Amino acid sequence: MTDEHPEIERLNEYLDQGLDPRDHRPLETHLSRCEECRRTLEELSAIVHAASELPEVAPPERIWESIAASLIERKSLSRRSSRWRSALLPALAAAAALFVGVSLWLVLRTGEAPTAADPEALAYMVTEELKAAESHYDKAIVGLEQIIAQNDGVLPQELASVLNQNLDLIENAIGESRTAIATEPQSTAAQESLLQALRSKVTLLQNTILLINEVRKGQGDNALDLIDEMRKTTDPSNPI
Amino acid sequence: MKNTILTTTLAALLVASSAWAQREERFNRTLDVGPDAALSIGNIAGDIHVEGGPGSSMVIDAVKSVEDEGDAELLKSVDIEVSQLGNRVRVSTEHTGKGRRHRDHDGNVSVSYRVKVPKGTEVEIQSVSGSVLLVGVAGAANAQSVSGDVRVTDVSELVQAKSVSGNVEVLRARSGRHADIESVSGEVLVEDIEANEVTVSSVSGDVRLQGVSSQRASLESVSGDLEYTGSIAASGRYDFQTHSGDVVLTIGDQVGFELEASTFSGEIESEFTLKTTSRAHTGRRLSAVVGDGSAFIEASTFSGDVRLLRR
Repeated sequence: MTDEHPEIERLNEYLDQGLDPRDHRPLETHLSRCEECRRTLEELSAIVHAASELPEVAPPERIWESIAASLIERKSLSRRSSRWRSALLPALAAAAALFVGVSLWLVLRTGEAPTAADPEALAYMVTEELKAAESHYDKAIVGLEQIIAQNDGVLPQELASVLNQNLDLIENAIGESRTAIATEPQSTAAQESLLQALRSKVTLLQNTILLINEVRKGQGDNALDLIDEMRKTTDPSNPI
Repeated sequence: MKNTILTTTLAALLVASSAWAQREERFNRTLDVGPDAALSIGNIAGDIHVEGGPGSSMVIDAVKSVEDEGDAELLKSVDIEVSQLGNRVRVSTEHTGKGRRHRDHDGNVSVSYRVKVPKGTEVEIQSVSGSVLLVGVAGAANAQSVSGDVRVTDVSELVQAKSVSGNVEVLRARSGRHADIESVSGEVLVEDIEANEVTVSSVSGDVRLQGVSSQRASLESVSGDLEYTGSIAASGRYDFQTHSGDVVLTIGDQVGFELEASTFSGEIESEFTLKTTSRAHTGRRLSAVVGDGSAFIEASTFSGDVRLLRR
């Protein structure tokens, strides 16, 4: 085995007891020599430990809960595909970072560390997480709408009309979701619906720009490249 | 095979139709491509029909047409270009402007294609205004239209079937990869599909999947209903999200699953015996387990119902 640093997914599998036993010895040999990887492993282990301290919270923390439940039920998750585990890893890190961040904020504010079982702290986390996500989506939407506005009139009228009708539909869904959150801030259905509607709007705006470019350039190849590039830079779920 | 590049313009290959000489021009081209070819075909206006079959030749038939006899001159403004590089063929419809009179436009010219390809061919179809039909190919299948319907049937490696304002229908499809099926304003119907992963979405149309077998499935709509009838796999993951539509899942009980269901103002109903792990907001949110809980289902709607039916 080379002495390259193992991928974080590999360390996660090791922690999760999902790594092929034949790979244990080379990995452990590397860990014995590499302080950086040992530290990474300790941090991953700490995330799992921190999660195990979390309560099995009831609503309204569905967003949080889905992450926390995933952490707590790692054993059942290990039955699922490694791809799913890999996809979860950023969520683990985000959950841990969020937990630590909010804890720090509360410590600074009150001088006391919040307990993981504090439902108010958890509700606060969810609200802040939602606000942050909304903010990312809103920024992406503004950028995309600016590009579309600069190309007003490029699309055939009928097509533009279909796209606008569907954007209005999505905007209506966003409005209904926000109204629902205003009346029931802890409604997970409303929170999820808002995020889905925002995601749908970003996707439709991206596709609209793709079509504009197809119409302008006559061929789709360049437009496809452009839209891929735009997705990388505007997709809020992209952790660049 | 020696690579050659062949570009042919319509003018050299047209065969005039006696009955419709003024309104139509026909195009025919046969290429030797081998059993595992690739076809990319693009069109502005007019239908595209691609069908897989035996043999190693690709037969391209096209008809350029105008609605009015008086516009016959406009037929010259549109060329059909065919280029071949090895076993890869590209067919495109070029609006050149030739033959246009003052203030004329060539938007009245449509070109309909009917292409027969060897069964193993990889096919990519892009249409702006016209319906797309792709039938019976074993290579990667990718069919898209902006304003026409898209229908894909009997394919072994579905990749994409998409339309902006048309309906999308996929029948008897297989895919060892991620199959992506989408319409913006049309309805989406999928029947008899086996895919490693399938994503199906519409903004304002309904989404219906029947006879599904997939390890992962994701169905989304904003105002449409979502219907899923089929099996679920142990360790599979299934996500359903709509804003104002219903989510109706009809599945067998051979595989257990975890369920996360939520609705803001609708109801959650189930024909399965659920071991509820949490329920809140007067039944609007439900976490439950059926059987061994080996699969995972998440179903969410804002104002619709979630219904879980036994198959």
